[in-house]
Amino acid sequence: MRDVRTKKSYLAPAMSLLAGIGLSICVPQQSSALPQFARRYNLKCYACHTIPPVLNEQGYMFKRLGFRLPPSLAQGEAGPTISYLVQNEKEWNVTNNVAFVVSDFGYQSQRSTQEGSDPTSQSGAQVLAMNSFFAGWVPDTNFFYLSEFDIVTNGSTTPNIAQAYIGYSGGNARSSWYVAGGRELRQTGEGTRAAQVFSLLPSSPLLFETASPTNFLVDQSPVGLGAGYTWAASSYRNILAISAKVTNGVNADGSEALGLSTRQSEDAWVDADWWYAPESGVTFVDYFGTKDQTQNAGLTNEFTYRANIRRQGVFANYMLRYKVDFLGGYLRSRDGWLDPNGGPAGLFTGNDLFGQVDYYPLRGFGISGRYDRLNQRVAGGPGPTSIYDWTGAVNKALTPAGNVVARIGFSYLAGRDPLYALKATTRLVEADVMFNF
Amino acid sequence: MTQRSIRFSAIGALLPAMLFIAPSCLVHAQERTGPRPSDPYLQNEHSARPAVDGLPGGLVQGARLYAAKCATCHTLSRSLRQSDLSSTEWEDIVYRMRNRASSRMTDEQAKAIVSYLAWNGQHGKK
Repeated sequence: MRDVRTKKSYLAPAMSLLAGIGLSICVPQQSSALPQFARRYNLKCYACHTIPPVLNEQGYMFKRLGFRLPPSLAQGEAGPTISYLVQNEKEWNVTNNVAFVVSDFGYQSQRSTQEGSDPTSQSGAQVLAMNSFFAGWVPDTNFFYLSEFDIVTNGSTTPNIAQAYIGYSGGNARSSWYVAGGRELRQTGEGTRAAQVFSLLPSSPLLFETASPTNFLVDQSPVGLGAGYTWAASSYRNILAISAKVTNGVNADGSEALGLSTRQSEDAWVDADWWYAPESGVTFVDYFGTKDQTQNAGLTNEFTYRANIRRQGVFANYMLRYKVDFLGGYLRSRDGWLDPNGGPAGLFTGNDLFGQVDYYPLRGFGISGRYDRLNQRVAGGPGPTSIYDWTGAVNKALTPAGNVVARIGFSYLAGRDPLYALKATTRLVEADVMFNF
Repeated sequence: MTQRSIRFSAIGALLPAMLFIAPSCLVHAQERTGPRPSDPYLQNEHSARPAVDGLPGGLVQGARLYAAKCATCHTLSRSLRQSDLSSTEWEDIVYRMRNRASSRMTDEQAKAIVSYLAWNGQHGKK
């Protein structure tokens, strides 16, 4: 039987977990459509996005080739080398490398309940996001770079360099490779559509955005070194790609380790992707790392436990007649866990999944719905628990180029956390307009 | 239902509707300006589809395919104004585009688009 003190030791992480889950559905997705690329090639956003910021196959290849447009790949012909593409790039200028502001203005209304607490309601119009990007290529070289400066995030002014990396791409358009280093958002251009954090819905799938009891989540921007290889068939009928990355990982509180750390360990990520035309794909994700886990934080018996973290997932989408996109994913979690009450070492286990349908009746108009479910269990905890989330949204591009997108979305989340089995619900209504210029 | 949640629902329904309707009106206002006299085969500078009135019957399909396949990424005005290109040059361009990622174009569709573009080059601007 647990005493009061034991409850306290559970309560803090349980509260933070619930807060994290609630936050994950009211946080707008990151607006990462980069209009400078559209300007550079005089193209509409739809060249690389279904509806910004969701990448299509061409957008994926664009990133894999070091921010260069995928050239023609005719049957029986060799693909042009990356160096050849470099020679034919347009003249470098600042305008074509800067997205001065990518903004998201909106109205949110949220109501949350939690067992043992009074319900809370919040609403308001706000600047949800305001970001600035500097991305492109170093003139006359195969080097490419991207930096993202976030001015406003989730309605708060929090200046932050969210991404800053530089890379080098080589080979040719059929068989290319790249190496890159720096701080990079995971699951952007790594992974087919179902495996990417960008979504037409107000939030990304829960399995990307929800922190485990060990304070680990997939959607992070670690500092590290990565490399990738991409093979493309004629006319890009099939694309096979693999990426691997070694990063600093995350601190005990879940924040990214961006500098020197006492953790003395690195994390390894592997992605294997298969795109098959048109616009369908499968992705396997594997992550292995370690991180510190602070238990009984703030109490006299506080201690630190070094847990192994493992994530394995498979994600797939199938685009039917260019109109209906069926997406789904499964993520398996196995994290080391030491019970704060002195119990034996065990595991946090998660079997998380989502299913989503995006319907595109017209170019620039999308209707989406998604069901998320997290099935979780922690050693020494109350037993298996689950959290589910229903989300729906309508996206409408307001300009022919697709650079202004309006969206109305809703979400209903309910479930119990794996540590203390506290029941919580969150209901969110959001309307926002995203400007890319 | 509490007073607060009623207000929550009303605001939640009204504001999104306003956000959608207002910008849509602006877009429609722009579209009412119609085609420019110098571009008889453009319904609008940024329109998603070219006008098919007056086209020879065999080219209507090419015009529609052009709108569906090319105007996804390119503005109509930009490519239709390249009227000095020959049929062979258009063929070269369209077949190169066909081999790009996400072109979603068959051989037959590419041929129809080339026919339309070549005809447009000769007759589209008078």
